[in-house]
Amino acid sequence: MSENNEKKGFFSEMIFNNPVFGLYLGICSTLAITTSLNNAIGMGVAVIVVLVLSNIAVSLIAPLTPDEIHIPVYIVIIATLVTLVGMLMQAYTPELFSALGAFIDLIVVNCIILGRAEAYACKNGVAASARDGLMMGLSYTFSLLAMSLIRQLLGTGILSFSNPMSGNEIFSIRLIPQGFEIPVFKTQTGAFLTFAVLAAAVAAIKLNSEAKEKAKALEAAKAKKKEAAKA
Amino acid sequence: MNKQSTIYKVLLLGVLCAFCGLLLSGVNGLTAPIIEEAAIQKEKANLVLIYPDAEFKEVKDYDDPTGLITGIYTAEGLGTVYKIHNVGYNSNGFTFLLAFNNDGTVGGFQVLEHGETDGFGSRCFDEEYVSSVESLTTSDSAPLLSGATLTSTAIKQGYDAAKALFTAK
Amino acid sequence: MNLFTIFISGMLINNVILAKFLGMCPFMGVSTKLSSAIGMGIAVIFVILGASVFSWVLYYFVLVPAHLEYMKLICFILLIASFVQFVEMFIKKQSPSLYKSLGIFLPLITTNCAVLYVALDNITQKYTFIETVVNSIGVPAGFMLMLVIFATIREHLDSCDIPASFKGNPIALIVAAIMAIAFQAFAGLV
Repeated sequence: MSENNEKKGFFSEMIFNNPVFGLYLGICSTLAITTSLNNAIGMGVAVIVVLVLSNIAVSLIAPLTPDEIHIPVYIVIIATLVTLVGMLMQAYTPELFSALGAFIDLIVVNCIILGRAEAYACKNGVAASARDGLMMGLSYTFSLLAMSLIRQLLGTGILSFSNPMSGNEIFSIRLIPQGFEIPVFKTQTGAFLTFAVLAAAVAAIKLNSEAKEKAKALEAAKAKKKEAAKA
Repeated sequence: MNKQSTIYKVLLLGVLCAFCGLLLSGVNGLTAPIIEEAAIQKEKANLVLIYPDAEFKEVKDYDDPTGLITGIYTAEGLGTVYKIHNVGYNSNGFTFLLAFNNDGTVGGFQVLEHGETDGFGSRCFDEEYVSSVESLTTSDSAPLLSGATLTSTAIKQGYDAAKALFTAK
Repeated sequence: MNLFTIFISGMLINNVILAKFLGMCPFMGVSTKLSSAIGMGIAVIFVILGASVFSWVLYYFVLVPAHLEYMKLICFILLIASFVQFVEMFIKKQSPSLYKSLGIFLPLITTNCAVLYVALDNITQKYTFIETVVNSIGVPAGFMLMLVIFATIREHLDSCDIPASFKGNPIALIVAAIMAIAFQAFAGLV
């Protein structure tokens, strides 16, 4: 029973505190690169690495940093990490590097990273900051996966994944017969539509749970009143 | 040291930048050769059509005012290969390799991809025209082919651009 | 590429918002009111032009001769942050009313993906100085165009009957999807 609750907690965390569909952070890359599962996982991993390491670095250096220069300090840390990840990707996963293109460098201005550094990492310990980075990174990757799944499936009819380092295909399943796929999902329009629907879905879930909470609270208040009237 | 003092701030930023710079230069030293090697490998499949069994090195800095040259590769001891992209009849253009041997003669002329009209522009990539180009030197220019004027003019322009860079070296 | 092509390509054909998905974060926040959209648009044009020109100069006159090209990302983003800070101080002094109306959005220009993108793109495309200037005006002009169009649309959208879960940003994205189709018409222009 408690395991069920814990699982519910993890997924509800992903949905309710989703930085992409809830807070609209990091949406530039979400819209641009989610045309395939490879891109989504590649970008997701890159952002998780940068986010976790930057949170750790910021949480270590924040106590030493006077308030006036905290922005340039965090920026230098994040930019260094992004450049490092970019160099390693260009050397060891060249296809992924060229697929993600300019968006690897643009991880620097991904609002999620600087946002977490300012909101959490500078005020908390190393372990907590690392965990926060991991959770946020996973939420982001989860959002990328959701977008890519829909866009790749409906746009090309195929779900496929290849090893980013060697280029070997790991699996490729055609789920929609050729000729029935909807190419618009590969384009910008499709990206906007998919994102809008997913964002609306998250909003709907949130509104629904808020309505449920309100109803519960109302019930509880009514019950209390009844009890008070009885007594 | 007082955290609020200017010296501290400058020092902190300076040390941080220096540390990051060193870290980056280290990783750069590690990854740059791999990246260069990969770039050449990609092109190698085409380059060996001209100089099989050669060691190729990419030339990164070159000044090409025409904008037609998309890559330069030196084959050690043999010559230099120029990758050229120009527009003939088909607006998408075509790409070809043109190599000059170290002695100034043409080492090879190889089309990589083209969308020129069959029987007209495509004659520029047939045996006859290709061997006429391959017998030229740096004191000549690529001939025009009647019936394939646009395509052969595009080849001539590429030839002249490569020649200019080769003789300037 | 001649200068006119670069300008039109930056502004319409490869529109930052609709074609390249850059600058979306501030776009979602600022495009709700026309007045803030115009103010933000002008500020972004100024910042992108200034930051890109300085970045170009920094790259070709400092980083390349010193073989420090890999420091480009750090240097560019620091340059952008400083430039935005400088612009903020300048506006605060010269026109406090403008400063107040722009509010929080001015410092947020630093994290606008479009600013860093233009600075990097000028290097990737190996533009000359003049081409850099033209590109750095064309791209933010497209951004401002989008902001203004969307602000006018969203001001009308507010009075429409929209399902609860689509209210606010999701419906704006659907509008963006339709505009993306419209702007694809520019694709064959050059």
